Amino acid sequence: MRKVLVVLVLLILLVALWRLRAAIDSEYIYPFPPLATMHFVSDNPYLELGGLFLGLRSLAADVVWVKTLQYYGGPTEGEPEMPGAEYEHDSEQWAYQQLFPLCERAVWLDPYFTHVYNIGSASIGFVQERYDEAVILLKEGIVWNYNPKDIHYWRLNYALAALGYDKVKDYAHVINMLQNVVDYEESPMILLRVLANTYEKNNDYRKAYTLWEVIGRRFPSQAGQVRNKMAALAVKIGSK
Amino acid sequence: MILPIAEYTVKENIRGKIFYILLMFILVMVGAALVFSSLSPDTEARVITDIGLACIELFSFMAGIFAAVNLVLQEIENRTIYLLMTRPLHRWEYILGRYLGVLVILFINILLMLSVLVLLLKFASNWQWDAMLFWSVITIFFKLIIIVSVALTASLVFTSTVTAIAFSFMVWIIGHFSNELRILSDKVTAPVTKVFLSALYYLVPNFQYLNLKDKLYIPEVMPMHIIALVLLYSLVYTAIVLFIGNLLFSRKEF
Amino acid sequence: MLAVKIENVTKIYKKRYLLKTKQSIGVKDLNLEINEGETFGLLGLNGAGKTTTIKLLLGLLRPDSGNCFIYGHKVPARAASDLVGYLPESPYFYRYLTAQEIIDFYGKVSGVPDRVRGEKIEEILELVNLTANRHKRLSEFSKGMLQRVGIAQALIHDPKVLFFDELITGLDPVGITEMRALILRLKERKKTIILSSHIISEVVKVCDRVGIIVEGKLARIVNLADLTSKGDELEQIFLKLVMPAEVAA
Repeated sequence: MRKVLVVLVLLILLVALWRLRAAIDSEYIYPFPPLATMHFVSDNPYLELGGLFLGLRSLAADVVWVKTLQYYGGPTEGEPEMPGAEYEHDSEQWAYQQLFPLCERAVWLDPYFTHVYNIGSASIGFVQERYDEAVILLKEGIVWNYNPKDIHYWRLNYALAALGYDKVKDYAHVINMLQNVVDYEESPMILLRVLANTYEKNNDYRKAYTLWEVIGRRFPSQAGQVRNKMAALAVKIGSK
Repeated sequence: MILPIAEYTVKENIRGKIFYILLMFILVMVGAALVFSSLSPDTEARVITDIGLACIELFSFMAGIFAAVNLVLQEIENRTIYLLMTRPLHRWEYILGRYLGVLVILFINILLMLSVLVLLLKFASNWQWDAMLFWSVITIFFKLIIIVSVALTASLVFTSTVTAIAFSFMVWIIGHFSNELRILSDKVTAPVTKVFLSALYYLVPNFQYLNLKDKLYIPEVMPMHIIALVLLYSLVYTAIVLFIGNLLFSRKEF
Repeated sequence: MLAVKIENVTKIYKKRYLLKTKQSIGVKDLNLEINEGETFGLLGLNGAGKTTTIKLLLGLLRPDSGNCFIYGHKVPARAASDLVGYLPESPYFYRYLTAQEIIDFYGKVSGVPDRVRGEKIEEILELVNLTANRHKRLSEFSKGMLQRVGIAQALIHDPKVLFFDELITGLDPVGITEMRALILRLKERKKTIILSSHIISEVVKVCDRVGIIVEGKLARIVNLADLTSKGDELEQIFLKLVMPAEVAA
């Protein structure tokens, strides 16, 4: 009698569990790229493994992103490189060639990390002028973060358009697009700098000057560089 | 009768060394969060949140399974269990009381760590309160509800703390790898492998359901009714595991 | 009235290895009846089956055949657990609790109601002489004090039958004297006491009857009132039973 009861209870629980799991699985979509899509060779696969096996993808993406930032000169660009940096920088025209693979690693771990697309594509595209890589990165971001109601989604699209115009040196359109991208409080510094430099290329020295002022205010650590830039622009404005 | 058992389990842990370890972990968490967030301007809040939640989860996981596998085995080894098993006390009351005691301890730990994390976020970033943070901590606790029951039952099956800990680690890892298992089992053609992989998929709890901390930045990924289903799923899974554990324990001789 | 009854009980220990199972006899065809209020000693060499007998009566072990009864309740049963108090051989206690906390804890799990528990704890602490040290943690206790805590936890729910396994093993002479006095006090309270020991001189001082266990079998029950020079005679009987060949020679 007791044995029958035990088996019965266990059976009911198991069926309940199975039904619940089926109900969840019918609606729940695993929101990450699966292991099979890992298309790069990682030099530190423990991050990917930790992300996959311990459920720490988001944190692993953060770590890769911090490595990327350090590789790209750290938060304050122009400072001397830390001794013993992990990556060797190549020659001038092919500088920071690890930048794209590092960004790819970060967004493979967490494809919803929109900062990586924004900052990464700006650095690779506008600064390093490797438009192909930057476009690939941005397109991935647009696919993974498709959500027309969300402004983040549109910023990625504007950035993509801006990259296209920049490639053909149509600076008026680049400015048009980039203004949409940087138009929010927490806009990363690199996008503001890109916009300021584009104003300058478009001979819009006054606007460039004003934007550098903003950058100087918002990122006090950049004061030195901002001063130099503003001095140079003041000369250009004066000679015009 | 469950209450006094849970109560002394809590006392046992509080008067043990667990809170010193907790303190250490909080220091590690604060240190790592501050260093890493300073290295990634514009994303401080995200980095601090990720590190904080990872610390909360991993610490509670380890503290939880170490406590769980020792709950009964250590009492058998110390022979303190004799004094309880000769009382007018059902054996399931004992198991349930021990189990709930560990959960109470973990709950207190999580609350402490969460408050440190919230303070850190307030002072070191421009973070604003987000209900998802609350839900991701709730789901971390539900992961622990499952894994502690697994560790406890494993300790009764294997009667060895080391094996039970190793087993719980495996369940934890496979549980987080669950969706990959499903993709794999869809892809393989060899029938034996296929059956093995899908059996694993259904037997091991899917911790990805409960891994909201990794999905904080994905809009609308887990609507409330799915979260409700997932929490119910966790409770049913735990009930089954504890039921099996109780069956084993009710037959045990001392 | 019968307090304890053991009916044709056999317990065989099985140790499972990978391929084979090793068996050893715990107790075999054991029959025993102990009356209410009696102090019964289980005498035997180490490994003879004294502890097995006690554990079977407490429901810690299940017999392979036969039955055990406590006041007519077949073991294991909650009603039987209500009636027994147990002190195992060299027991361990939760060292992080104080004397009062641990007695309170065992009172709770034995179902002693809240309203009488406080009073009961006072009484027991007084009985085992721990009132002064009630708020010390057990980690600071001496062996003798721990043994008194052990007695206290066995008494908190006022059981009718008490099982003491190797009560005095490892105690110093003062401790032994204390324990003897305690047992006599419990006897006055009409408790049924079953104690196991391999020290004949101690058993003689407190017991009414003694059961001698040899290799899992109850070899003989001796009524101490029947003996004239208790200690020597019991020793002779015991030695004859455990090593008959040599004594005969």
